[in-house]
Amino acid sequence: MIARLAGVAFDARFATRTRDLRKRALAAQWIAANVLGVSHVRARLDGDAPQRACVVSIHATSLRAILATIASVPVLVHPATLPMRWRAVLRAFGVPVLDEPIESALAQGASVALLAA
Amino acid sequence: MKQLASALPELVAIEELAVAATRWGAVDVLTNVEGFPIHAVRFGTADRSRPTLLVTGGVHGLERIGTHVAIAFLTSLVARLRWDELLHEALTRARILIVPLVNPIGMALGQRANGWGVDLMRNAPDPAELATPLIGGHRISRRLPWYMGHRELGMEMESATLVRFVEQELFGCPLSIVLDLHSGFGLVDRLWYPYARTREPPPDFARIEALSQLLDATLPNHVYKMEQTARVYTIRGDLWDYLYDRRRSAGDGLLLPLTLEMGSWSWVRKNPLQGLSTLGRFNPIKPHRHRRTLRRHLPLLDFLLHAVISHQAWLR
Repeated sequence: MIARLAGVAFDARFATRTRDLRKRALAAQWIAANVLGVSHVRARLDGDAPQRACVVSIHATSLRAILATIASVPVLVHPATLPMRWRAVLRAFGVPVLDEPIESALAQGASVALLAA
Repeated sequence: MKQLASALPELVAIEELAVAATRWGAVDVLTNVEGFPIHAVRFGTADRSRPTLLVTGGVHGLERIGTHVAIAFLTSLVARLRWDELLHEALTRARILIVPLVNPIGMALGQRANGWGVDLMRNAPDPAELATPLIGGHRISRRLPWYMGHRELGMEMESATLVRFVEQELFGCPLSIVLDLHSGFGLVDRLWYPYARTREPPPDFARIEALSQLLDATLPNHVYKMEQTARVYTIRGDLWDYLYDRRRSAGDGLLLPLTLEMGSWSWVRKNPLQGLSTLGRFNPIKPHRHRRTLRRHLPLLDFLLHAVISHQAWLR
């Protein structure tokens, strides 16, 4: 399991070598799906994902729920809304998070997720 | 002919067997790649709505043993059809298709890729293009292994032919199982199922698990490790991922592509000197080991044929 998660983290380092935020959101989705896939979990959205870039609010009580959300919809999570520990784990896995203003992400066509308090 | 026989004895063997196979089945040349034919042998009912087993080999030119196992299966079928009434009965209910050599030029040149340097197993359209770097497919140069081909040029003739063949022959069946024969990775023989591009389990994971349990129960102590292709590394442009997804979007029915990855490291471990040659790293060199490999997988092929015919008993 650890070796396979390390494999995901390795792949992730190469998947996120772009400054295009929409591509980074798609990479985040792929990496999150791979992290969950290591334990044979498949997350899928019932219905259609939003066509246009938007801000979504996540109500999650576990890191796995956050990963399932990212695996279902290509979004960049706003790191400031995440607990420090979750942020560190996402970073370790190589899941890209939002590192520019929300307006900039929306302008580039990337959706943004905020963890609801 | 003499030159061909020395460069590509597999093609000569296939053509000889094709003559014998025409008595019970049909043999087609799917295409000619610069003069090298890609053969398809069909046995069984002509009804394309019947469950089907497809065996393919030689997608990677270096992995000659895959084609040898396909030829061994074809030889066995032709021999059995002379006397085996049960096999004739089985073939009224199902079909067996064999494409023993998908990449003849690669095999003649002794290289993994096709004549243009493209790895056929990384050549399918994949819009996401996210995978393990280099080994998972790249577009850097055709001089490096695992080259996916030029983005604008589409699929290579060999892979496009295989895709077209699978679409024509298998997309109308309720169940079709593909066994693609490869060698190279690991110490044990692995049966890989989709996906290769992501570690996400495929939507038909429960059905694949059912087949895996059936294999465990039917062939106790078998040698195969059944796992997802992407377990170790991810691949972009995988042909079987592409066809699996296309079959799912085409409607009801299941196309289950399995890749038999014969663990060639065990051959090298037993005979380290063969590791010095390129072919030796992918194929059994000692004659007794080669024969053992050819007979080792016949029970699996027989099992898959029976699983295809009786799919209603285990496929939910």
